[in-house]
Amino acid sequence: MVFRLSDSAAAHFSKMDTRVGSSKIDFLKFDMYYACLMIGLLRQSIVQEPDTASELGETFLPSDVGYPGPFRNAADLIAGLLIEAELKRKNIGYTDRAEIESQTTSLLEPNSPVRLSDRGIRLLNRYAARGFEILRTETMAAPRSIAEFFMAYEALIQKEPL
Amino acid sequence: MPNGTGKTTTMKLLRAIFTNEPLSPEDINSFRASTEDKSGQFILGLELDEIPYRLRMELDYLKGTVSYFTTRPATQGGGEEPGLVFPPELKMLLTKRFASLFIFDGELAKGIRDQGGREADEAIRTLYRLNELSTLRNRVSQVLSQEQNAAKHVTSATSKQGVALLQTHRDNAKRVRDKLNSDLKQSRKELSEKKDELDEINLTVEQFIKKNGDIEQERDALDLRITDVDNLLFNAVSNCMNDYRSPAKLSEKLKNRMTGLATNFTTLQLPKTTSRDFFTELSNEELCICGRKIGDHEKGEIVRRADSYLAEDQISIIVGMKRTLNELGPIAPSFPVAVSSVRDAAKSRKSVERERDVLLKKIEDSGDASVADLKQRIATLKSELTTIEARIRHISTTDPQEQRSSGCDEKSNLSLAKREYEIKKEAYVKATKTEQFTAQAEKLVSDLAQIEQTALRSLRETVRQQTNEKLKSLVLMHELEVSRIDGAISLSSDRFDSHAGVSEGQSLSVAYAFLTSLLSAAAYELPFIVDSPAVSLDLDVRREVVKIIPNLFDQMVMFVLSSEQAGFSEGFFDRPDTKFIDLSLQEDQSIELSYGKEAFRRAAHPNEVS
Repeated sequence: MVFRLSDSAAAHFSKMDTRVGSSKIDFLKFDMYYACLMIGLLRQSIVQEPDTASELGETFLPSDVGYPGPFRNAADLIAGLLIEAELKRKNIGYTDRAEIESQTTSLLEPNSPVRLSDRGIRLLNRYAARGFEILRTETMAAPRSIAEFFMAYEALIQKEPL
Repeated sequence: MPNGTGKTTTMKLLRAIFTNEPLSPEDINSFRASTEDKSGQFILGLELDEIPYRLRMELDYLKGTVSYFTTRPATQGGGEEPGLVFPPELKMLLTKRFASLFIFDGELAKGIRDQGGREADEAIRTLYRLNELSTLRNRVSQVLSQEQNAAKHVTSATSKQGVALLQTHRDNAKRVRDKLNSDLKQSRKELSEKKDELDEINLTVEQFIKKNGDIEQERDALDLRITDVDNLLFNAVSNCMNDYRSPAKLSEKLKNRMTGLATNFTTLQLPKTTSRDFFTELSNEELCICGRKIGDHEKGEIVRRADSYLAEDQISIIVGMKRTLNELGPIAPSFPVAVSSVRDAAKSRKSVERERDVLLKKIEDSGDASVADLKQRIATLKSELTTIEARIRHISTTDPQEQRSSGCDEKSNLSLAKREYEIKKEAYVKATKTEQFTAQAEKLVSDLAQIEQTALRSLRETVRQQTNEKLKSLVLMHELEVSRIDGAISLSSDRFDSHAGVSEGQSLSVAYAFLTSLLSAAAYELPFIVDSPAVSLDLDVRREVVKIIPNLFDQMVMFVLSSEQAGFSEGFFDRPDTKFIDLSLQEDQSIELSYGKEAFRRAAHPNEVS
């Protein structure tokens, strides 16, 4: 299973200057995916299941490789956020213990470096795709600098009521 | 006069007193009459230019030394003065060789006539001092050799090719020296010009700063602030990046959701105490924990339902999430705070950028851009001046230690190049001089040899003609003629084609004629002194010679033995211009002198009663 990022999402970030003064910030492709994913998970919104997986974009990271170094510690949290978003999206009550356990078991795969089953990863890609739609719609145009991105991104996150 | 009366000794003493030739102690001792004698003396009286001279030799037999004294009327207060004091022209003439021409040796007369001999030539050479040309030639050769030896320490090149090569070396060294001189001059000029330019630019910049303030400094300060703000922004963005990459730090809402999920799992006692693993194991048992038998149907249902339960390792993911959240604690996510720092830093950056825009406008308006160019030019000039100064130092240093440490050589350092040029020049000049000197000396030697040959040839002819003139006037000799002088005298006559037909007396007379002709060219008229002139001649020859001799010499001193009276001495008895002195050895070994013809005649015929 692989992570996918659409061309339009990659293009959105491609003009972003990651240099600050004479130094450069390392902004990974997974950072782009993550930015979209978090928005999708925050809004608990997902795109329609595509007819073919490639509709969600180009593959850029095999799941068996695991997250890039800076995100390794975030694997359990991302898995938790996916479970939480799925329960909400499927309208499963907090007390429906059996359904919660069933959903959870279908999404997790302990042997995967990213802790997710194939189904979990497919869903993650759909949340990320939706997140990019929101990002592009609700924020400014493509960010010109990384500082500008963070400021705009934080503003977008803050729009969501607690 | 008989043998033992001192004829040979007298001849030797005469040669010594005329020539002042050094005598060895053995020679001096040979004059000692008796071993009891401690000293002896020999006195010769003569007239030079009608002035009476008295020459005295004082012989010290004990010391083996000889001293000469001269008495002449011209000396101050009269009396004797040390040394042989002759007029210079005569003194120059009186060499040992020359003395042998008039203090005559019988062998010389023979040599003059012997074909293949050199005596006739030597006699001419001696009188006319042609030997001095030979000496001069030898001296020139010696000087040349010394000069070439002296030049060897500088160069051994004396040939034209060698000199040409040295000239090339000298010219090359000169070119290098001149180029370094030129480079040094150019570099100093360049240094001076650049210093002037630097001074001028410094003045311009100073004046600008006085008028407008130091915008450059302002810009530098602003650039420094921009760097500071950039660093601040970079740190803020880096912190932001770290928080961004953790969902729990990114958003409070996300954190709350994860916390809520964890709480719900706890509330629902998920994961259950009985996990999927329990049911998987149970399905393999025969009896259920309630005691009922587990058949195939029951087994399949247990396994199917087991999938609804979380497995132990799946539970670990939820546990991990819980632990991460617990570690973060209740503190609010830090991403928004980090973004706030980014915002502040970005604001500062924008503010500084605005200030820079204002400054740039000010620079543009004030013309400081050109000052910046001038400051850049100052930096360039300073760098260039350092380079030029180093170059000048390299070319001009005369300090040997500095030359060594800087790697100077004769191609890059002026003083070394000058020294090299001097060395090359000296070698060239020396070689040139030596080469010229060699050529000149060789020419001189050649010319001298030619002069000597030409002079000898010419003198031979002159003497030959003079000799022939003399021969014409002589009785018995007028038929003879010297045909050639070539080392020795060659004769010819109407009757004779060669020497073969010439009598010995004629031959001797020719030798005498030759010598008298020769000596007539001398600055002084000299007496002709001869020892035993007729001892080896037979009677006929003696009679022949006696007729000739009086016509040859103005003054002649002959030492004759008693045996020479026959046919020879007696031929002079009737001549009124002849003086006779007889020396006879007494019984006590003393010598008695008798003057007059009669005493002389008696000495030859002791038994004759006069």
